[in-house]
Amino acid sequence: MMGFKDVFLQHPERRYIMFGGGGGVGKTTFSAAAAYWLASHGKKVLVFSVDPQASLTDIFKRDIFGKGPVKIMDNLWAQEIDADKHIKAYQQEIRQKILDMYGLPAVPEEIENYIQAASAEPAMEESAMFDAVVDMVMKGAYDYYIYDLVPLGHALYYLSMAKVYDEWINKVTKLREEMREYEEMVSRIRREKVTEQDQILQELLYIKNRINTSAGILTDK
Amino acid sequence: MVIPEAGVINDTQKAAKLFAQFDVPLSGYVVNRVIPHELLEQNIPEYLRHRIAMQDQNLVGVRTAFGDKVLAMVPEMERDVTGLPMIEKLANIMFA
Amino acid sequence: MTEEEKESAAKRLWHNITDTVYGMAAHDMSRAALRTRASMEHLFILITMGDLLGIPILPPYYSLRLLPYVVPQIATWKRRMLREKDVADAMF
Repeated sequence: MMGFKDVFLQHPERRYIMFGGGGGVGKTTFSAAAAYWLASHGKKVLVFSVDPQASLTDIFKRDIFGKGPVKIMDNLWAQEIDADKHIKAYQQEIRQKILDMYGLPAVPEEIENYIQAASAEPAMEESAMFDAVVDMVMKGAYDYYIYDLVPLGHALYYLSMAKVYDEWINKVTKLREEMREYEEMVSRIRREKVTEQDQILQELLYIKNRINTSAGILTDK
Repeated sequence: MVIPEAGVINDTQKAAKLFAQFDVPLSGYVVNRVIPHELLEQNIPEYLRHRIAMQDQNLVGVRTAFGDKVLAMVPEMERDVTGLPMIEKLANIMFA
Repeated sequence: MTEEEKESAAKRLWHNITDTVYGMAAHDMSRAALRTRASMEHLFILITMGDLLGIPILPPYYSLRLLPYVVPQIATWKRRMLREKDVADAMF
């Protein structure tokens, strides 16, 4: 029978390790234990939880909630993302951007309602988590990232959506390039409109990049 | 991860299929919370014997379904796994 | 043909060509402009009504990020919705 050691030895390229399963089976605990073992064998490991119910704070008996990566011992860092704080800060960024872009004194009521409604969606917390994970992955230089699995449905949705989104944004990019050709021919186009288009395109590309990174983490590519 | 309970096996198999579809690599399975057989030699209440028997049955199912992809069978720990010493203990069992 | 006639024929031809080219450019331009507007509306729909149309739904975290860019559309959309409502009310 193959064991854990064998799997890690045979697949050194698998750096994103997740423990999945139903509620109460011990995913978070095992993530911690696997992280511990790898760290004590010289690997630089980040273990984190995306499960709002489980608690690495309890498991490690250290307060790590919302504190960024906390060093538990040599080579081992643990992180618990405070999704709420993340979302609230994010909302403020969006509000400020709207005020700046349109020179408004306050955010219009229907826009504010939209912001609140979107944030109340259950998928918001999950997608905020995913984005926070992308941040961690892009910043950090860990040998291993270990975590307990997000709700299966959501993870798989991300994967299928990543592909569709890719195709959609490629179409939009093509459109934008065609526009650019005419921009050179005709000088009537207002500069501001063009810049705004570019900005939007930048945003779409940024989002595409984030989503693809998320998908890459799940498929370990 | 699985526990030796009916229904879990089925759900896990479904999940495994989805993973394969979406190209998520599956390294193996872990069976957790297995009540140790040593307890049978002690004076334990009837319901506990019964539970062990149930688990044994389910474990047959686990072995049939997941066979050589089972990486570890982990016993129910006598205490909550909290704090580094307990974590180390679990890690040693996992990676034995 | 006389020299004069040749000249005016040439001029007419030249005008035809430039008109056609310019016309084509303007036409293509407005087509592109229309498509860009369509893509803006596409964006807007993507953010607010994605599930109704079965097109890719962005995760809420990212669709919120695009919100600032469609703020003007939301205002127009509301107005349009209200207008349609008025029409419907007037009819029934």
